[in-house]
Amino acid sequence: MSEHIEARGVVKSFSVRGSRSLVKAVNGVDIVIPRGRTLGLVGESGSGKSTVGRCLLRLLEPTAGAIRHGGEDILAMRPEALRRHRARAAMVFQDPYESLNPRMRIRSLVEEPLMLHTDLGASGRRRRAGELMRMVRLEEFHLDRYPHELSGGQLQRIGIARALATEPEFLVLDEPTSSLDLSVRAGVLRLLKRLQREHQITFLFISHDLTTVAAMSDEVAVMYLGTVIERGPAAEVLGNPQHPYSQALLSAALSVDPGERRTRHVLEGETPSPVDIPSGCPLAPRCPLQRDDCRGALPPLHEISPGHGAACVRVPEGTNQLPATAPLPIVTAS
Amino acid sequence: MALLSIKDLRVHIDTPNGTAHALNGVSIEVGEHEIVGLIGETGAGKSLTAWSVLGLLGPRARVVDGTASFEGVDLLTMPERRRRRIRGKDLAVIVQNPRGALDPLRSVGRQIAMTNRRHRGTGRATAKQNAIQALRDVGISDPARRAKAFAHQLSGGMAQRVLIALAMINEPKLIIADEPTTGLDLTVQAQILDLLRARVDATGSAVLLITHDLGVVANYCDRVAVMFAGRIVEEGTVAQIFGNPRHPYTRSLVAASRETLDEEVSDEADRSEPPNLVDLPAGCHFRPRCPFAVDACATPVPLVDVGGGHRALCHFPEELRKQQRNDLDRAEVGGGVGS
Repeated sequence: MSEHIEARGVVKSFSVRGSRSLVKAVNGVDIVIPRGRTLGLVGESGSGKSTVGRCLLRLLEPTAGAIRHGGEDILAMRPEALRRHRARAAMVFQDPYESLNPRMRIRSLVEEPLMLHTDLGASGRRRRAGELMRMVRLEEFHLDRYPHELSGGQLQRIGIARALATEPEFLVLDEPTSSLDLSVRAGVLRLLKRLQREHQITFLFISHDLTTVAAMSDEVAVMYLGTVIERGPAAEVLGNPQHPYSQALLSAALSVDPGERRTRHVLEGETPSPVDIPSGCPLAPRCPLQRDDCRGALPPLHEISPGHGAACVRVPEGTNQLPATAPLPIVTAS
Repeated sequence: MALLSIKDLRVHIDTPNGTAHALNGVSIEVGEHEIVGLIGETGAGKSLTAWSVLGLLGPRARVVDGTASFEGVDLLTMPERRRRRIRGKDLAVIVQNPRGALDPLRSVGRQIAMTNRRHRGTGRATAKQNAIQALRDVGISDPARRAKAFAHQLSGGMAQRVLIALAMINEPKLIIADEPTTGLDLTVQAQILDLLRARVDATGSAVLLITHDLGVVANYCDRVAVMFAGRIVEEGTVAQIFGNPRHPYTRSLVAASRETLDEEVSDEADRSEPPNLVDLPAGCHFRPRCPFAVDACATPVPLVDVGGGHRALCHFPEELRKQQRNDLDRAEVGGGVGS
């Protein structure tokens, strides 16, 4: 089959301590990624994008739904099978300073997954650690250093080396460059792209940085309050957003070219708490285009062009464009 | 006269490994009606510059040289008592991590009112009204109710707005904003920066905006200062810095922000180690990472004015322009062959 990662109807709720209410972090999300491709998952904090990533790796048990990796049902796996499966799918975390033990040498950090998932002996692990360092373009002497002696970019390369140690087919990259300085960000992204090409790795790339997502992804899904409200080819979704939420989100992205200020779409209020999610379209209470039929059931993804769909009831009639708010005049020093 | 004028600021920090030369002669000016961006990588000294000016350095850091004049008076040498009267009144600060900066045990309305009473001598009732108005001004709906909230009851975006209201309550002449929108969602970031910009334009106050986000700088700042290893390596207007960077470090930053990853550039070894502030290289501090470095770069670097107030701390600011032109020519030739 061509779909490498396939998740259907994933739901994840968390109970709130001392209360009967549930935090509905993810509400029926479908994810499909062909082998060796990248799906960019964007959305603001609390949209559920990291929860989706963790469910796909079964680091969290979904409340409902089905998840297949290469056709295998990973939710049906028994502990031993799941442990073996863990070598095939891995995660790269946002902040390498937080996710790597500061008291371990880089060598131990890189060799740790090899000890857990392979039967390599000490010399085999040593050799593989050296190989991994070459793969992530770091010099081998770094292996004998401690995390604080490396730059953020170098340390994230260690995070990537760890994730790659067991030659996984699928990587969940959760904001892998958000904590990095601009000057090293591109290097890390380029590294990821090369590794993907050379090893046919499938990526779920989670980020709120739209520029990075545009550069990395084949397809993009936009999440709001636990629901995918728009998806499609990256250039389509980011260049021609259809859901009012995607339009507002993209209009808030800041171009690095001074003077090039696009029209701004402003949504009223703030994202509601995922405890009381409005019925129907989750954006309805904040959407300037909302009308009565937004409040009923969650709208399906209406197709705009092949593969590009948006969950807005106005899409079929083409009345889904947000009114523009004039951008602020910018005062430039003479 | 500039509102804030930092001149040749040098700060040393004692570390177990020796004395770190954290600021090595920083000079920045901020005038009325201006938002000046201060950018650079982690550890470059952006926040340290702010803390020095505010007189909030920790016990191991000390100012060894330089001045920071605010309305003509040096903040660095004045007694703390006097500085305290200025801070929070004419000189306000907005920090990153707003929830951490708010008092967890007092309602936000009360905190804002207290600041107003302390510095402006307003009565209790008036201060309360002022606080509610300040919350309304930063776009908080139902401000009278929100004023009763505590820090932990607010979302990040809401807490950041409260902090801005707190900074604005006494109508300061200058706001030092240290990464005011880092960690906030894009749509919230846009709202908050729009608000700051509108305040500056309307009241004539000024902002020193510390950020590592070049998009923020390009969209909201008038001028930019680029920091590397405790020095300003380049300064100019937004158009000058983004359109015509003259320092190799600025050039790499601007190029990185426009990165599309389209071309098949080979990924090189990552040698991006931050400079060792205890043992900085002689001459240009960027030298070990500079693709154009030559022997002459080990000699003291001049601050070269390349025209129109655009300055670069580099031996060869003209070379970079030629290099850029060559790159363009090559791109055009390449395009010609390809098509």
